[in-house]
Amino acid sequence: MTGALSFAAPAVLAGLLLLPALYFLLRATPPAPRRQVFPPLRLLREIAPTERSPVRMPLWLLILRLLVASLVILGFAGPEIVPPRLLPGTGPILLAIDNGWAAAADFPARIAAARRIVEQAGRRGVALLATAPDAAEQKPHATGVLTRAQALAALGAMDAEPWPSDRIADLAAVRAARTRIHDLTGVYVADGLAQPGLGRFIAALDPARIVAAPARGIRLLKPPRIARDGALIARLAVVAQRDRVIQPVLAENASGGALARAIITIRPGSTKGEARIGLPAALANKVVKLVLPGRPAPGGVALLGSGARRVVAGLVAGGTANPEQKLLGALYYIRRALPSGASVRTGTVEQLAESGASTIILADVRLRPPEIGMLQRFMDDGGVVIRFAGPLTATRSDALVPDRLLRGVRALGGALTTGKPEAVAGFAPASPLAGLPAPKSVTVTRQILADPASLDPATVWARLADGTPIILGVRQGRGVLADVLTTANTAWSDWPIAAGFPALIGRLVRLGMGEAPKSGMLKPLRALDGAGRLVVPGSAAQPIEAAGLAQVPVSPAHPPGLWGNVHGAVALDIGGHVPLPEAADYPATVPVTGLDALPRARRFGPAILAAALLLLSADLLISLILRGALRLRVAAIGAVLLLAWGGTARAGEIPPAALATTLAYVKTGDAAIDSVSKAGLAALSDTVNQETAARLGPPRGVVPGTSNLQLYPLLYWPVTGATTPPGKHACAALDAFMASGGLLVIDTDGGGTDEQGSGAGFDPGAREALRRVTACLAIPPLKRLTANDTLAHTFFLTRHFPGRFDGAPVYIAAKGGRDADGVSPVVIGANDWAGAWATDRAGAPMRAMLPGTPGQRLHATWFGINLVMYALTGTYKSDQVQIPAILRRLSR
Amino acid sequence: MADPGPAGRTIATAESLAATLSPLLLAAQRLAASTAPGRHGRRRAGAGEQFWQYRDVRDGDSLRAIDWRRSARGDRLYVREREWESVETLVLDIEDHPGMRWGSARGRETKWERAVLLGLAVAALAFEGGERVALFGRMQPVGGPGALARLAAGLALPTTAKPVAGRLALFGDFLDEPGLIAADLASRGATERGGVLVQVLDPAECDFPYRGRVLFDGAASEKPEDIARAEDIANAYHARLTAQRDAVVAAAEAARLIPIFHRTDAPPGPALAAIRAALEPVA
Repeated sequence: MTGALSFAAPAVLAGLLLLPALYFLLRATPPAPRRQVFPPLRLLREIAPTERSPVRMPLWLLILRLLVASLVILGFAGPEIVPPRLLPGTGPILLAIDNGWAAAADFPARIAAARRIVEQAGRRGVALLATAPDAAEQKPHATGVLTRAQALAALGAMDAEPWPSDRIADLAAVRAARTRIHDLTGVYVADGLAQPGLGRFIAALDPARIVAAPARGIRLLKPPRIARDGALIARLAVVAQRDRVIQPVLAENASGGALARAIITIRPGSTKGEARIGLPAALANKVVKLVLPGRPAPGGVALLGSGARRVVAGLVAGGTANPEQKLLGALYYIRRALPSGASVRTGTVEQLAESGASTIILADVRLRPPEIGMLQRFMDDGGVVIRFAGPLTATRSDALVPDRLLRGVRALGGALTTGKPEAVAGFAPASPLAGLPAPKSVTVTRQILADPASLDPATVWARLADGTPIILGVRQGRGVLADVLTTANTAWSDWPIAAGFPALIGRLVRLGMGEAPKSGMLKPLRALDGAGRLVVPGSAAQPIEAAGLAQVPVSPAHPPGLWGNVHGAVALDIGGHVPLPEAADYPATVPVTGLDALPRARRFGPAILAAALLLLSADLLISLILRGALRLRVAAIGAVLLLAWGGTARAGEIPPAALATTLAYVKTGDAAIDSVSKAGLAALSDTVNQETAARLGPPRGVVPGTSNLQLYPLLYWPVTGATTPPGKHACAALDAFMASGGLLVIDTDGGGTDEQGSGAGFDPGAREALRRVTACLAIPPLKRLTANDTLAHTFFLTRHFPGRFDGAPVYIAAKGGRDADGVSPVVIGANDWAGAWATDRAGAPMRAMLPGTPGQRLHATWFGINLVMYALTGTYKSDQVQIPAILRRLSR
Repeated sequence: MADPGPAGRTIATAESLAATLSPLLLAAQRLAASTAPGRHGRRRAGAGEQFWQYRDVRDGDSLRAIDWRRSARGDRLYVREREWESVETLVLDIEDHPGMRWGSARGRETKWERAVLLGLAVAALAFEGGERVALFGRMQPVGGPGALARLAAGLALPTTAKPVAGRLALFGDFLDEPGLIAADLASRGATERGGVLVQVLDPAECDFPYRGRVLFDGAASEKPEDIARAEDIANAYHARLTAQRDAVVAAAEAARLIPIFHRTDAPPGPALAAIRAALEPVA
C-alpha cells in the first residue's frame, strides 16, 4: 500500500525559486582568499597574467553548493509518502482495544498498532475504550475525545488484564459514547477470541476497520494434572488450526528457576495437547508453576497451588497400649518431632482422612481394606502417609506399602541372635530425603525386611550400614507414602531419640502437595497480573466459598492466582475458568488487518537533510583545500588513516582472548546448554576476578578444530547424552590443547539412574556419550579426585566437589599421566558445574541445586575457582609444601 | 593623550629599536667572538708593532732599519720588519624599510634583524682589528672601547650625517628594480670604496611555499595581488627571483662590491666568515 509523494510543508518549496539568484550570487563570489604579506610583490606583478589562474568559483563547486541548497530546501519541505486513508469519515475515532487475557501475550504490538491509528486520526481526535474491566472492577467506558498527545499518553498507560473482556459492558460503553459524541468512526483492535456478545458489540461499534492478530497465536495453559506416579501433566489449549502446534512449557520453582522443560505438540485440527513432566521426587516437590516461555501472559501460567502449606498431622497408633505414655508410648516421640506450628489431631483413620489433615502418621497400625482405600484417595489428593513398623504389622503386612515386605522381624544383636545392632548409613541421594545429614550413632536392633527379590531401588530412601533398606517411600498421586521399617518409639531402635529425628519427620510431613481446602471462605492470597506475575490482589477481589471456586469465572472480583485460608491454598488458573479459545468471526464487510500490517507514512526529510549536511562538510573540506589551508596530500593521508583505523577495528586482527586471560567452553550447538555454559563461566570469571588476583575476560565459546584453543587455559566441555563424537580435527585440536598445558574439564549433567550422586537419572545416556566422545582423545589413566590432590587446595580447601548435583565422583589424571609435573590435563565429572555457577543478568542463580544442601552452591563456586587456579598455576600450591624445607636450607 | 609630535614619535621608535637592539648586540658580540678570537693583523709587512719577519738588507734601507742584534749573529745584515697594521674605516649600511622588517613565519628573525646581527658582528670584528666603523648617512666613524654599543644605538638615528670615506658593507634584500639598485650603489660611491653587498632574503621569498588562493599584500601599503592558485605561479616566480638575484650580483660586481647571498634560515656564522674574508684587503 503506497500512496503519492506529498510534502509536509509545501510552502518551503518556493525557496527553490531563489536558486537562480543564488547561482549568480555564488558565481560572483569566489571563495574567500587567504591574506599573506609578501615583500617581493613586485616580482609577482611582473609574472604574465595568463599564469595567474582566473579568480572564479569552479563550476563543479558551484553545482555542489547549489545541490546542497536545493537539498536543504527539499529536506525542510518534508517529502513523505503517506499511505492512503484507512479511516473514512471526518469525525473523531472511537478506538476500542481488547486488553483481556488473550491480548496479553502480544500486548505491546497491539499498543503499537493503536498508536499508528492515533497517528492516522491526526486532528480528528480519538476516544479510547479498553474492553476489559480493571482491577478495581471499573467497568469499561470510553474516554472523551482526546488529542493526539493525550491519546498516545493514555495508550502508554494501558495494561493487559488477566481476565476476559466484558462484552456486555463494552456494548453499553459504545452506546454511551455514541450518544455523547456524534459522528464517531469505530476502529477495533481485537484479540481474535470468540466470546458471547462479541457480535452485538461489533455491530454497535460498527468499526471501519478491525486490527487483529490471528487467533491461532493464542495459548491457554490449562491447570495441570498429576499422574498416578506423581509426574506433572501440562495441558495446553489452542484454537483449532491447520498446522501442528509445538509449544515448550517450563516447570519453575518459587524463585523462577526452570526445573524442567517439556514440549507440548498439538495435532492439526485438534485444540488440546499434553506433555508429561517427569522429575525426580526431590525436584518435583519444588515445582510451583508451569509457564510458557516467551512474553509472560496470564494465560501462559498454571499455578500448582502448593505455595502455602500448613502441616496438619493426624496420628494413629495401633494396639491397645497407651500411645501417649511418657517415654514409652508409640506417639510420644513423634509428637515431639513434628515441626513447631503443626496442628496435631488424633482419631481413627477415617476421621483423620476427612478432617483436612495434610499428613497421617500410622505407628504400627494394621489397616482394614476400606481404610486402605480411604488413605489411597487421601494420598491422591496430596496427603502424606507415614507408617512406622512394629510387632503388630510385622506379623501380617497389608497392601499399603511402597514395596513388598517380608513377614517377620529381623533381630540384630539381641540376646538370642548373632550379629550386632546396625547403624543407619544415610539417605539415598535421589530420594526426597537426600541432603539430610546421616544420623550419627543411631543403631537399629529390630526391623522389618523389604523383599529383596522384588525390591525397586528407587523406593529405598534410606539404608542401614549393611545395605538393608530402613525407609521405603513412593509417590502416590499428589501425595507420598513412606514406610519406616522400625518402630516410632525406642523399642526397636534408638532413632526416635536421635538429634536428626525431627528433621526427618519434618521433611517427610512436608512431602505432600498439601490438601486443597474444601470448605470455608477462600480469599485471594496472590493474584496474577496482566504480565503473568504474582502480585498483591486488587481492591475489587472478594472472598468466595470454597465449593464455588471451581465454577467461578475469572473477573476482577475473582482474579486468577492463589486462593486459600488457614487450611491451605488452591490455584485459580485462567485456563480452568474460561471457555476453550475459539477464533472470532468478524463481519465480512469490515476489513481486517494484521497487527503489524498497518501502513506507516515514510518521511524522507531527515535523510535528505543528512545528505545535505554530508555534502556541506565535503564542501568545507574542499574549500580548505582550495584555500591551501589543508594540503590535499595531508587530507588523503588522514582519510587513509581513518579508513585503516576503521579497517583494523573491523578486522580485529588480535583475537580478544589473546589480550586477556579467558575461559572457554565447547559449543555443543544446543543453545540451552551453550547459554548455561556461557553464563556459568561468566559468573565464575566474575567471582575469580573478585576473589583472586587473576583477571579473566568474558568467556568465549569455541569449536575444537576451527577455533584456536591455544589461547585458553581452561576449556569446559558439557557432554550430554545427545553429544556426538568430535571429528578427527577436533580430536587432534583437543589433544594438542591438553598436551600444551590446557585444562580440559569434561562435565555431564547427571547420569543414568545407576550412577552415584544426586544427578542420577537426569541424563541416562551421559556415560555412553562420555565414552563415545573421549574415545579418540589421548586421555591419560584416571584416578578419583580426593581432598589430598592439588586441585582440592589450589585456592580454597575443598573436600567435595559439587556442582548442580553432588556426590558423583570426579576423575583426574593419575600421577605422571602427562608429564613429570603432575598437572592433570583433564578433569571429568558428572555434577553439572556450569549449572551451579550460572547466574542470570540480575545475579540470581539460573538453575536449582539438587539436593540443595546449604552451601552446595558456595562449594561449587569454590571448586570452580580451584579449577581456574589449577589451570593457571598448575601444581604451584603443592610446591608450597616444600617452602619450610627450602627456607631451612637457605638459612643454613 | 595628545599626539607626542614627530620628535616624540622618533624617540619612541628609537626606544623600541633599542629594545630589539640590545639582544642583537649581544648576539653579534658572541658571533664575532666565535668567528675571530683575538686581534688579527693584516698578514703582511707594514707599519705596526708586531714582529713580522727578518729579511736581507736591500738598497735603500736606512741603517736604522737594520736589526743589529740579529745581524751580529751572522755575516749578513738583517732588517726587522713589522706587520702592517692599518686603521681603516668600515661603513655599514643596513637597509631599513617595511619589507626588511618581515619574517615569513612566527618566531623567525626578520631580514632586518639578521642584517643588523651580521652588520654588528662585522663591526665587532672591525673593532677587534683596531678599525673604525661608521654608519652610512647616520653616524661618523667610531672606534675604541664601547664603540659597538654606540654604533648599535646609532642605527636608530635619522639619516642626517655626511657620508664618510671607507669600505662599504651593504645589507639589504635588494628586491627593487635592478636599475634603481645600480643607481643607488653609484650614489654611494661604491666604485671608489669597494666592500661587500649582502643580500638577505627570507626562505619564503626564495622557496615560495604558498598554495591555493592567496591574496598577496605588500609590506608597505601597496595594492594587493590576488592569486587563485599560488602553486601554479611558483615556477614563474622562481625564474623572476633568479633573474633579480643575477641582476643584483651584476650590479654589485659592476660597483666593485663582492656580492654575498644569505637566507635568514641559514646559520649566520658561515655568512659572517664569508663577509670577513670579502672585506680583507686584496693582497
